[in-house]
Amino acid sequence: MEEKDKTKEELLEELEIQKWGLTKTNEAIKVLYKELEKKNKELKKLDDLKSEFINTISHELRTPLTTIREVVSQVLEGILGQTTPEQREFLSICLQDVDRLKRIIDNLLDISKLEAGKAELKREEVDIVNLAKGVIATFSPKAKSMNLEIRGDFPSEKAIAYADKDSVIQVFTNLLGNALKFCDKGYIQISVMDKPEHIECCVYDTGRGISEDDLPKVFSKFQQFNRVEGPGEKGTGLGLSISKSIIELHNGKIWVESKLKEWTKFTFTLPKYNPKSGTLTSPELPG
Amino acid sequence: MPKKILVVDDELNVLKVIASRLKANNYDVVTASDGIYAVKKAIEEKPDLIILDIKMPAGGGVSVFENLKLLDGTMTTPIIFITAYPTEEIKRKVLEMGAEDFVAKPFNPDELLAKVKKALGENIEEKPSS
Repeated sequence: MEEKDKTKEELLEELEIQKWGLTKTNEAIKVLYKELEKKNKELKKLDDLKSEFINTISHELRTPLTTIREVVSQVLEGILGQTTPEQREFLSICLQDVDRLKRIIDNLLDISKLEAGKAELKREEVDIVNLAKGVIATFSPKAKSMNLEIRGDFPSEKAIAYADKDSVIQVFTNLLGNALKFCDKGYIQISVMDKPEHIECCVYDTGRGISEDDLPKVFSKFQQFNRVEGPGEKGTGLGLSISKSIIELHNGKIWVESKLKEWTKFTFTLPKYNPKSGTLTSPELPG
Repeated sequence: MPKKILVVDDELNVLKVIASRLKANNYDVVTASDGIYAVKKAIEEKPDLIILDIKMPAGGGVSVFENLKLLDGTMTTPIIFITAYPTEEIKRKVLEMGAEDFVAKPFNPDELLAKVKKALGENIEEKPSS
């Protein structure tokens, strides 16, 4: 009987110890939880500050650019009086760089939004063949003036992706714009293929190519290779980084292949549109 | 008789260059640099079109827009918003509110003029009469 009682006492003591242990663990969890809540609030505050910073910088940079651009344009157009050819030449240079500054600001803001996870995709059913044809039409006059041909290769009449139309246009514009910059001769080809798992798009050019050493850096920010100084629109070094972020936001992939002095090919994939469910079919997507 | 445009922006330099551009295209231009004065000018001058900056002190652009849409003399005047915050969300919101159009700063002058002509019901190819 005594042993039984003893055992019972021991059990009770053990329970007390466990109860004390659980209470202490509970208290520690509560302290950690409060810490986590505090850190969360700080992060949210930082995030809001970052957004506010981006918006403020955007406004503060765009406003003086508006004035500068308009003043230069109006003097160049003769609205404010006659100008000499030399003055017009210098004003044109000024205008080009104002537009370049605007592109840099736009690209920096795009990158900030994409990296902060604040870029919203307006996904819908998009015919990528039609979209690509539109981009080709936009760039054709410029290509023609450079004695370059832009070809379209579209084995299917349609290729329906589930994508943000404006973002995909931005990607094509970046890739085609780059191709024109680095292609002195030959042609540029855009192809769109309706594959079982996804839509695959390529922009191929017979330009200067990219060295093997530079290939891994192609999608990094502010990287420009083989850019020869001279006339023509200067890039910001952000276009490919933005394009990569956009494609990855679509759960697609983007990659580059190249042979120096011969050709470069950028390929990206987009999820397909499922007409029955109105959603994407790509297996790359999360559940 | 030239069409009259009221331009509203708290940045005086921006007001000056937009006014200069519009006058060069034979529009009559009046300006205001804050929301309260903008509403007053709109009532007095009865412009054919208002170009309105979104971010302004003393009555932000949206608040000015809402006031103008409540007043008899200005409720049907077309309004084009102009902004240095050209996000898709803002563009969508202002168009849903009933704005005629939306221009981002820094703007392309041809784009601005095309939107002005469209809002005034003018043919885009024609220059307005002086």
